[in-house]
Amino acid sequence: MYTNNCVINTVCRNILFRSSIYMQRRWKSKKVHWSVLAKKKYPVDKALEHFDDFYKTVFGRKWPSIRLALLSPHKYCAVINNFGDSDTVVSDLQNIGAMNIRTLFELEKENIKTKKNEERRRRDLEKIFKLDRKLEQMAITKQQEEFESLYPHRESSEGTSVSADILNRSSSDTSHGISDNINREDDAESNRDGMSQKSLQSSLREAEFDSHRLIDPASGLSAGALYEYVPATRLKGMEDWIVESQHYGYYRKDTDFPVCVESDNDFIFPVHLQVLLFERGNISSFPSPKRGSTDVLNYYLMDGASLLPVLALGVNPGDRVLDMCAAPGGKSLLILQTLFPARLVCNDVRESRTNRIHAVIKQYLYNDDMWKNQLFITQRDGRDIDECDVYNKILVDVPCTTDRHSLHENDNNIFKPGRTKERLQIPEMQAELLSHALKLVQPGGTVVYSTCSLSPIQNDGVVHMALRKVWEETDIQVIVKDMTAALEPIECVYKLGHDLGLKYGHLVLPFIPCNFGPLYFCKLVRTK
Amino acid sequence: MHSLRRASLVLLVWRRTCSCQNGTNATKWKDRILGYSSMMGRESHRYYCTAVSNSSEQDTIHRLEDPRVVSLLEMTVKEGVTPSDVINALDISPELLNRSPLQWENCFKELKLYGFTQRHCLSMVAAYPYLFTLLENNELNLSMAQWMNCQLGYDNVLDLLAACPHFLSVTGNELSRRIPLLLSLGKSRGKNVVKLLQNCPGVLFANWKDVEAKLDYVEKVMKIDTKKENLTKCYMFNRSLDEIQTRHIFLQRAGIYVTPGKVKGTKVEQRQQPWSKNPSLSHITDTSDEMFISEVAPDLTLEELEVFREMYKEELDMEDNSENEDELYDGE
Repeated sequence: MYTNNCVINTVCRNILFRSSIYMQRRWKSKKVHWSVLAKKKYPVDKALEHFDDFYKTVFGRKWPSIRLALLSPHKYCAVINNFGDSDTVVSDLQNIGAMNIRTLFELEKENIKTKKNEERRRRDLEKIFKLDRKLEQMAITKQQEEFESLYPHRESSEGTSVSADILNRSSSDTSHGISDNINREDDAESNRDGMSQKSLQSSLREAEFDSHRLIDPASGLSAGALYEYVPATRLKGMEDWIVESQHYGYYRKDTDFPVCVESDNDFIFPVHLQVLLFERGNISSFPSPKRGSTDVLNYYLMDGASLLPVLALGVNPGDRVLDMCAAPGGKSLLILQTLFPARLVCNDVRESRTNRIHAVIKQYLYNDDMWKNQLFITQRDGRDIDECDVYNKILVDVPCTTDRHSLHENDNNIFKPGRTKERLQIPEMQAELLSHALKLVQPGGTVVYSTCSLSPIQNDGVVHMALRKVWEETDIQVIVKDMTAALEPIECVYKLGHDLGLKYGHLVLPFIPCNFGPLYFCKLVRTK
Repeated sequence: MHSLRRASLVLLVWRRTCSCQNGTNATKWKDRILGYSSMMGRESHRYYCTAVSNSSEQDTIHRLEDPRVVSLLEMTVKEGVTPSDVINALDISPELLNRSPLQWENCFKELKLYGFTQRHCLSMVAAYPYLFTLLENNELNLSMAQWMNCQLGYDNVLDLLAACPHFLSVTGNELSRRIPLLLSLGKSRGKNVVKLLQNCPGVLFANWKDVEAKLDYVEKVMKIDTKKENLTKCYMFNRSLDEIQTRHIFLQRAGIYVTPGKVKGTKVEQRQQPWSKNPSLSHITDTSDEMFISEVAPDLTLEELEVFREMYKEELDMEDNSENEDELYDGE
């Protein structure tokens, strides 16, 4: 209606101008008036409002920090292209201050191991010294009792001095946790014991001791019991018994189907994969990648958090890998750069998206013919892939609300009103893709589910729905891998979400000093 | 009275000679002075000796060796100024010793004529020794007249000049240009302007465009109602615009500062709006980094503030560069 008015006005004005009659000028169309524009809510504003309402309740006091990081510039890492001039590029980037994430990771792993060993040793030493003191106390009391029984009229001070002497001789034995030699009176022995007592502290530090054989004297008083203690290696009749805590791990209160969670203690950093980034607090950015002597780009800039699902996948030499929703191709490129997969299939649902994968591959791999039998780019809906039992590693990086992107770009934003229905149906689609991947993968294979959203519905919620679906419709057994222990070394580089009620997966939170993510990933292994 | 005072001074001299000859015996001569002072009726003499006994022995000996200090102390004691204050003033501005007690006396007399108290006189002289020169060149009268001309209120101006004596050197032109602008800021109240100048002395000399830019930012971007918020109470103008902007954007992106909107409603409804919980302007601009984090943004850390500051500086630099490029392009 407004457009029609404008047209009519313009026409009238033109006619009247030509006939030289003055006509009052009309205001511009209301749509572009500054006051209207100031009040207009763009999709990015709608997205921010939605996140403020929803994530404030989920993340509580952590939300301001996450919100600040989401609205601030993104941090990138550089994945070195092994098909370019990798050596020179690595040294160039290291000269501007970037660090190899593998080096950081290995160093941190060593640090953690050393700290844990020291902590364990300290605790055991404390236990020994505690027992030591207890034994001394017991010996003193026992000695006093004996003296009182033998010499009832003797003064207490003499008794204690004598008992202290004997105590010194006996203290050398307490390093082995068993003491029966309270009445030893041999001088030569006492000298020896005295010498060894002087170096008790230092010798204990280097000593190899079996902490399992320490006995608390308060509980095992009689000498007979101490002599008779022999550790059992097997208990008869307990073969079918499982530890209670493990048993309850199979059943969770709020699920009506069994979920098995196992911890994954380590993940391997593939030898050929080189990823460089700036350390925590350093906001330097990488220069744009350039073409090298092989006419391909030297490195690929991507969100550092995207590395984790690929590492969790644990690609080994000879694996057949499927990237179910591959576009724009960053994670597929990462998998290729490990140089391990025998076959990699990059799939996506639309042609525009598969074209992007093609573009990326062309920029980073110089010889298409070389990859004819190894790399395939397909265009299908992930739920329609029917090659069962072919892939042993599947990466399901599902379409999601792309939280960070939705806060910065209005174009084709998932929060625009026209896409509301699509947005509300996202979790269902994600669950279908994941359950299908679990059915596709070979027994013993790994499926890694990942999203770039903070929404618990799209994260743990979808994993839960998919696991239930698989349990209900098939007899496939799936284990969820808890990678908390394996991810400990990586916390020097990423901010992981803890105490957020995550049941299945792990979350990388946006944090200003290391502004990666958001990224959620969950490792599932099919056992049967 | 005079003879007793002279005697105490003589004792000091005697003490000096004794210490030169043999080892120090501090307590004896202090006791004697204290003893004489107890015979004097006036409080000021007791203070004189207390000051002598409180300060470190070496300092006092050193000071009292200087005859200029002694004569100065004599003069100021007459004016009713405590000797310890004088010694502190000399610590602050040692060049004051170059002025004779007569000059001091004249200065005090002139300032008292305007209504400044003894304490004010001493603090002004200590903070701004150039005051003596102003007096000698007969510029003090002119300066005081110019200030009184600004219509800020006589007592207000006295308070201001006692706190910031260097304002006496500001020329009449500068004052006549700047004070009306500040009056518009301070809602035409002299007391507000004086408070503002005491908190942010730089506002008198700063480029008015910078001051306006800060005001614009507060009004148009932060959307703070400057009619309700008394800008003269905070130290905002001491901070650069970049600092104010960095802190504001830090809070805005974290969701702690919500840009106020125009909502018509009752007062209760206004209080229920999310921006009613915004931190006040003085909390944002007047706090140190540690205080800012602990009081205004307790869910964030100092590390995040420091990294954000670096990051935002780069964003601002990029914006400036792109604006400059646009100008160049338009110019072509």
